[in-house]
Parts: sequence; C-alpha cells; structure tokens
Amino acid sequence: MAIERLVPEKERTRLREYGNFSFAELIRNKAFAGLIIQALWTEQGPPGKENQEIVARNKRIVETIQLIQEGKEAQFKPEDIEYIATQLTPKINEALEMAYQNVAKENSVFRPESFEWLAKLNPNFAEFLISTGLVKKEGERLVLSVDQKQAQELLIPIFAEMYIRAPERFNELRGKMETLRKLDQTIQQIERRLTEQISGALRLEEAQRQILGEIVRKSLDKKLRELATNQQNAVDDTFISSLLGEIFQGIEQDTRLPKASPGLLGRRETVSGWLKGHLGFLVGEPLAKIREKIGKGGIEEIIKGMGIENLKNFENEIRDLQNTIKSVCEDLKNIFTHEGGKFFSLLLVKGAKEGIEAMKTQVGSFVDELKDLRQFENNWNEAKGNKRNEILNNKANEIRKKGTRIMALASWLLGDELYRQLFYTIYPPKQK
Amino acid sequence: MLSQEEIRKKFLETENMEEFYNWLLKNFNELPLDLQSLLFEFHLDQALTQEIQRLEFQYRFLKALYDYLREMNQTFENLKTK
Repeated sequence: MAIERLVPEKERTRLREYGNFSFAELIRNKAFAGLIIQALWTEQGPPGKENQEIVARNKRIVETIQLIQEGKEAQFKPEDIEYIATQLTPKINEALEMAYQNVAKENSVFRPESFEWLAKLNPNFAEFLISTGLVKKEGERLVLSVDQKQAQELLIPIFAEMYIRAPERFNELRGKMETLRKLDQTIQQIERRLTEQISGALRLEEAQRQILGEIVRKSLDKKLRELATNQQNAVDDTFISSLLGEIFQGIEQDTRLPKASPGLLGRRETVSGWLKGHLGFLVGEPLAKIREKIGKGGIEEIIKGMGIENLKNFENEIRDLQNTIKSVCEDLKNIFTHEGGKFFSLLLVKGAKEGIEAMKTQVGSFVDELKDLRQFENNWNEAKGNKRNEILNNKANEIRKKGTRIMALASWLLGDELYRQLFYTIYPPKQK
Repeated sequence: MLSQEEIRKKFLETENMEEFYNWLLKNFNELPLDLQSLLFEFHLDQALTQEIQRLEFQYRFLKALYDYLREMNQTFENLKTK
C-alpha cells in the first residue's frame, strides 16, 4: 500500500506530520481530498458513454470522500483504494513536492512574504488576500495574519491543485513572480543612481540621499498610479511637470531635509550645482536630435533657443533671486513647466504611451467571468437547434483562446448537461 | 465545506454576479480546494500582470531620467572647460 506516499517523505515540514495520519484522517483533510478529486477529474474527462465505468468509479470515490468528510460511516472499495494509491498518489506527491519547493523553501518565489509584498504593491490583490485570511490590515500596514506554517498550509494545497489542474499556468505564474522581483531590484538600483545624481548636486549626506530617493519613488509611484486609473489622461508636458511638482513638493514638505540653511545655500557652487544637475532635463538626447536638425551651433545655441542668453547670466540671476531651497525649487519647477517638459516629454512620450496603454489593458475581473458564464447559460437555455450549436462553438473558441481556467470554473457553475456539451465541443471524443 | 450543489444553487439564485463573487470571497475558506485555487490563480495573475506592466514602465521612465541627468551634467562639465 502506497498511501503513505501521499506525503513527501524527505521534507521536514508539517506536511510530514500527515504521514502519521490514517487514510480516513487524510481523506477528512479537505486539502488532500481536494487533490484526490482534482487528480480524478484530470484523468477522467467529462461524463459520457465512452467512459461509463470510469465515471461510476470516480463518482463512488468522491461520494465516499464526502461521506467521510461529513463524519459518516463509509468504506472505500479495495479496488478504489488501490486505484488511488497506485494511479493518483504519484501525481499528488509530485504536485505537493512542487508546491512545497515553491512555497516553503528559502528564497522560493511563492513564499508567504512574497504575497505580503505583492499585496502592498497591488490594492486589488490585497483586498483578495484579506478575504482568504492570509493578510490583514494593522492600521495602514498590511501584514501576514497567520504564522509561516499556517500560511504554508493554506498555500501548498492551492498550488498543488493548480499544478495538477494546469501545470503550465503554475509555471507561468512562477515566471511572472520572478520577473517582478527582478524588475523591482533593477528599479531600486536605478533609483539609487538617480538619487546620487540629484543629491550630488545638492551635496546631500547619505541619510538625506535616502530620503530624497524615497520622495522620488513615492512621487513617481503616485503619478503612475494616477495614469493607470485615468485620473491623468496622457504622458505629456502636464504629466511631467506635475510629476516634478510632486517631487519638489515632497522635498519642500519633508522636515528631514535641510531648508534655508545658510551653510548649504551660501555656497555658490551648491546652488550652481543644483541648477546644473536639474537643468539636465533640458538637454540630452532630444536636444542632440534637435541639434542634428538645426545643423551648426553648439549647446549655447540651444540655450539661446530656450530663451536663456547665457549660462553665467542665468546663474547670477538665479543666485540673486533665491536664498532658500524652497524658492529654488519653485523656480526650477517653473522652468520645467515652461521649458523642460517640452524636451523631456519628447524623449519619454513614445515609450511612456506604450507603457500606459499596456497598463490600461486590464486582464478583466473575476466578476466579468461569472457574468459571462451566466449569460452563456441563459443564452443556451433560450436558444434551440442550430442556434445552440452556434452558442456552444463560440464559447468553445473563446475558451480555447483564454485557457483552461474558464473551463474549470464552468465545471462548478454550469448545469451538468451544458458543461458536458461544452466539454465535447472543445475536446471531441475520439472516433473508434 | 460547501458542496457543488450549494455553490451551483447560490449561482442560480443570485441575479447580481458581484454579489455572488462577494459571497465566494466571504466563504473562501469553506470553498472546495479547486475553486479556492481558481480564485487564487486569477487574482495572482492579475496582480502580477499589472505590477509587471507598471514596473516596466517605471523602469523605462527612470532609465531615461537617469540618462538625461547624466548627459546634462557631462554637457555642463564640457562647457565649463571650454
């Protein structure tokens, strides 16, 4: 009897404790029973004349599992136990092993902390995870609401089931999580380098650099989310200046950064450096392209074209006018609003527009899928003859494109007859 | 644990699918494992897709900003030495 092999033997986790359970106890465990049932369905296909015996056996196994789970007396037939042990157990073991490797191992992608992290990034996911009981709100903060073992107990069966039902989706999600992590790390590196550029001009100390980095990241995040939620319509001059305004406002309002410090502002080179650093927005690649177009003329020509007669006069004017960081920021903000944004957006608009369009392409909502299934069933019930076939074929084509998840959902929500017909439309029985 | 009949009954009874969805979420821990897994898969995929898109855009944006600043600093350095 290979029932003990339902549990991965080599791992020292709570999973191992299941090894001491009796078979009936195992079956009472919703997660293991769920895995057995999913493995049964994966093997079986839809009910039909071709597989009557298999269907009858599976139905018998599921009913026995349900009775045991309800605490009633029930016995498996010996051949059913043998089938579970020899045919289903290896599949379940493999899935549990795979889920365990990805949920419980150090640095694995589906560790509970990964979901806590993702929930902090994505409010919709946070809302969903709160309903599962995995995370909770403590004031404004999101935290894991259960300990590691409890979190693993929730996640391992879910991912094991996913692995049995749709291994390609399991791998796809794992790949996406890895991509997201790498992107996040890359962005952090760039933000550090960017902050160094700005804080180099400001002569900020390391702690202040970090604060500036926080402000840049927070401002950018806020503005990008506004774009994604249509609060701002396009990446254009307005967007750029509103982003920079947000950064400057952050600098002004943050009490941890120096303000109106004579030591800082009294040094000519500091103000100059600050200006030069930030004037970087005004030239660069777009201006290089413009320069190519206008032919002769160096950077001075470009500056003249911007209405600034020469750098020295410009610096003097600014130095005379400003004596606090706040006013320097305000002035720069105006420069960006009136001049910088135009050039800056030349470089960014194309790429940004593509990015924003992609962000606006949402993957739909679960409610939409439910509505769609309801509508499909209503239409099918109302239709007759060939119209029914047309409805079935349309839905089958849609499911082929979207993948198997809708089909799995349909197996729960649609009536048996409609589900059976839909299944056969997608997977026609083999002709003998 | 909720049975298939109970879930199907609720699905048919409930006119508003948002209401049905909220009922699923409210009873998440009582749902059969495969339905839990379907919900989890959907939401995880949605969150990952959205955040990857957002971070890819953020990356392009920051990279351009950084290159811009670096080039400008260099330009002014060159001007100073002219």
